[in-house]
Amino acid sequence: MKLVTAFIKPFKLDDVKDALKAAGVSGMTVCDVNGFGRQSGQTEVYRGAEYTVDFVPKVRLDVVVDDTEADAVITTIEEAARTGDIGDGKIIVTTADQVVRIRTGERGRDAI
Amino acid sequence: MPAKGAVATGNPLTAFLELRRSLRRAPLGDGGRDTCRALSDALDEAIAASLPRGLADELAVVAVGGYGRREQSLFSDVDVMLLHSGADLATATRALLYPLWDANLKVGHSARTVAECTVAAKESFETLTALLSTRLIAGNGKLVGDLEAALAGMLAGRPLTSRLAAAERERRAVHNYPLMAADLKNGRGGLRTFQSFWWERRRAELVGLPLPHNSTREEQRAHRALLAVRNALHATAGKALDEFVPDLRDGAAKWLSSDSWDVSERVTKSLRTGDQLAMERWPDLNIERAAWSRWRRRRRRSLRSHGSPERPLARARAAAERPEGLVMARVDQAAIAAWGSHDWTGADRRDLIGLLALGSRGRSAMGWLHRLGWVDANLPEIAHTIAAPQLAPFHEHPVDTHLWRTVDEMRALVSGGDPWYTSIAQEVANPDLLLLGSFLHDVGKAHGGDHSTVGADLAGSLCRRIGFTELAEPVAALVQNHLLLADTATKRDTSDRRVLAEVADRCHDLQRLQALYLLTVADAKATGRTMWTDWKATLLKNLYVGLVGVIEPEPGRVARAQRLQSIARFAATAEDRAAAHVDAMPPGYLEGHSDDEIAAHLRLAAGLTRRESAVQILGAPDAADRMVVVGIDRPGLLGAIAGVLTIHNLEILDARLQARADGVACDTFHIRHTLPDVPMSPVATIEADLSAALRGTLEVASLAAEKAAPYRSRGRRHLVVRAPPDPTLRYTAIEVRCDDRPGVLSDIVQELYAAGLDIRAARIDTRGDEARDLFYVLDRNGEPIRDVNELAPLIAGLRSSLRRRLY
Repeated sequence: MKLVTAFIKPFKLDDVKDALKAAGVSGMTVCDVNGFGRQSGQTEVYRGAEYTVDFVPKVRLDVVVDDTEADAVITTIEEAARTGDIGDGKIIVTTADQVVRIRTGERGRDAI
Repeated sequence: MPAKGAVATGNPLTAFLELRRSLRRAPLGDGGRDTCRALSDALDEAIAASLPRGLADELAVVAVGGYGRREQSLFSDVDVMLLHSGADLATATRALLYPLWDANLKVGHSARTVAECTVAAKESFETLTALLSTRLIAGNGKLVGDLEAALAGMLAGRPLTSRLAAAERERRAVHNYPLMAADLKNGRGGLRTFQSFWWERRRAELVGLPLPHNSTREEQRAHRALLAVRNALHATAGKALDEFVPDLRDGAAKWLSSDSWDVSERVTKSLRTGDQLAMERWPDLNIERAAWSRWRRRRRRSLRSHGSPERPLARARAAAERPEGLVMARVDQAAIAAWGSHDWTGADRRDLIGLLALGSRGRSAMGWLHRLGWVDANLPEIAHTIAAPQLAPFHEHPVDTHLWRTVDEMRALVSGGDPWYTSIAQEVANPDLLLLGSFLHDVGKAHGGDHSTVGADLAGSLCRRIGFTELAEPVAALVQNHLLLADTATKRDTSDRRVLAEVADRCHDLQRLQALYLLTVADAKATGRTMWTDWKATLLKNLYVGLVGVIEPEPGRVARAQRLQSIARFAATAEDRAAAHVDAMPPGYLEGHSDDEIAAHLRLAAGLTRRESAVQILGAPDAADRMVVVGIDRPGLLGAIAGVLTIHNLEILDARLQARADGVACDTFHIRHTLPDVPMSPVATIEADLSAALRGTLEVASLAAEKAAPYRSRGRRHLVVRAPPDPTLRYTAIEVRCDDRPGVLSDIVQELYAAGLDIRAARIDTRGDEARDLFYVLDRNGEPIRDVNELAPLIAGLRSSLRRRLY
């Protein structure tokens, strides 16, 4: 199983969520995060003066999927989150050793 | 191993436990009093059956607390007392308490003689109130009679009111804003409040006095509703959980054969009833802790004589502005109740804004106005919001509480410690727009339909009806768009110019955008802890900055050209010199000053080659209200200016202090002549004294102190010194708030200098009788002070030295 973690632009959350649901993903965890990547924060001009936002707001999305579905999920997120502009985000994939559904005690694929 | 809570067949508690199991599935009667009584009665039977016959003469088993009042909830503690006259307690305990423990019930127990009860009641108020609720379950009833006689004797000269009111005051302090996830037992207006009413009446019964108040239908209805929902929470959670948390609302509603909205409304309205009855029955409930001892000395006189004005809002405002805290005298209650519906006057509008600006006192005063029928008659547009529930889990408060909290958050943004928001608020021409917009932004809730659209109609018509004619349209627009920025910041691509252009168009102009931005922040902060985070603040700030860039640039460029022409004309100089001067000043200089002020800076700065400082008075000859001072920026300049103005009887109401890139300070003061019968000093004299002060040949500090001396010790001795964050990170910000009087700025500045600080910029302001000054300073090495270990003692030292100097 894979844990797919995506850092995306906040306004793209609804698009990604809808696309994942359409692709058959049944659950996800979402949280608000701040960070920077190659864009190194951003600089805005306010009434002639520059001010820097060191950490840019992003949304973090965690989805656990079966190995066979991982590539499709990654592609779905990638396409739904892309604007083509700087700061579109990242997708990180790690191996998940075990998944447990607490209510039923199911494990592995059955718990996804 | 037996299952948890299981008892052998034949155990006297079997019937009680079976009843509780069945009650977890469905309530008896309304789920409140009927259910509680059934549980209490079943416990009574079980306990009475356990009492050994041989002990019945020497012992009375009594229920105390909620169980004593037959208000036993499903999973409440079972509180019993063995009242005895020398009985065999070991046998009694084994027979009576072991079965309760074996059934895994949580038991509160004690064994006392009547004499021990009175000693314990004297030592502990909690024990006293528990003993007031004693009820005989089984055994010797005479012992209970003896206990009641002893309590009656003890309570004859000991009213409970002040202790009960103090406990209610504590609940209000903990829960300043009524909550949706309220603690039904110990929360504000909760079951403990209703128990307090009961204790007061019970004391009167025991002592043989007239009842202090009757148990009204309103009280009984609210009390029963809270008991029912408490039982529903216990049934749903399977344990003694008294908080009306979102997770349990659906289950509780199902248990009561109702829906979440209805049950939530029952809770919020019942808690509000408890809260308002407490306010009505204990008139000094809102006296503030710091004023308590003074209030106790003056209570009787204060409750009788009020000297309030005539109109209801003015009376409510006067009651809320009393130094000790809000007190609504009975004469004022009667007068307000008698008014009914009336036309709005300018004074009413001022008083409404005044109430909004008073924070929690204003909220309590509005609570009184609602209680007395005035809100229904005169502000019907908001009446439905009062104690109206909000089901979304992120909403922490009922609708009206959220509205008031938004007003409070807005007040904090306008005058609080974050210069980013404060500076934006200062540009909003009419601050009433911010207060009214905050107070009405969710007025469309609990009406059905889109609450922004419904609310905009309601808010607009309300403003027109009560005479806020000019504000009607902007307030309605604020209400209509109050979710626009939050939605755009989180759900749309704010790097897309088309999105920014569309939102900017809906904002109309910069002032509207600024008001909307502040309302969005205040609304989020007032909604709940999860709704305002750094994440959201950054998204909103980026959007705001982007929108300013869309709204301002073209008009800004045109306006700049026009203003530079005007400034050049005033200063009798060329436009490029005016442009060079403006460009050498910090951002916001052009927007923050009028053309004649900038022209004065420009003209005086041009003449500085011949002298160290120059002064010009602006305004009409008979109403001079501004003074412009230009000088070579140096440590001590502000102190010299403040001191010289004090010497010449000029009070500084506000000030804008800025320095040009070449080190020329261009300061502008809003002034008031404190001795209007005495002619103002000639400008040349002020200028000469300023030069002398800067050269060190005029002892300005001591002369100013001498001048200010007669005004000292007159005020309320208010002093706040703190170090809010400086968003530019270039300086250390120090804020001082204190009683305003002539010479106060000079005194503060001298203390900052004495502490080794160099004032690089400042914002001086006066609000009513309060001076609110914000200084941007550097240390002796020209560095901002960042280390908290250095900053904390500096602030503490300043607080101490300023208190000595000012008061």
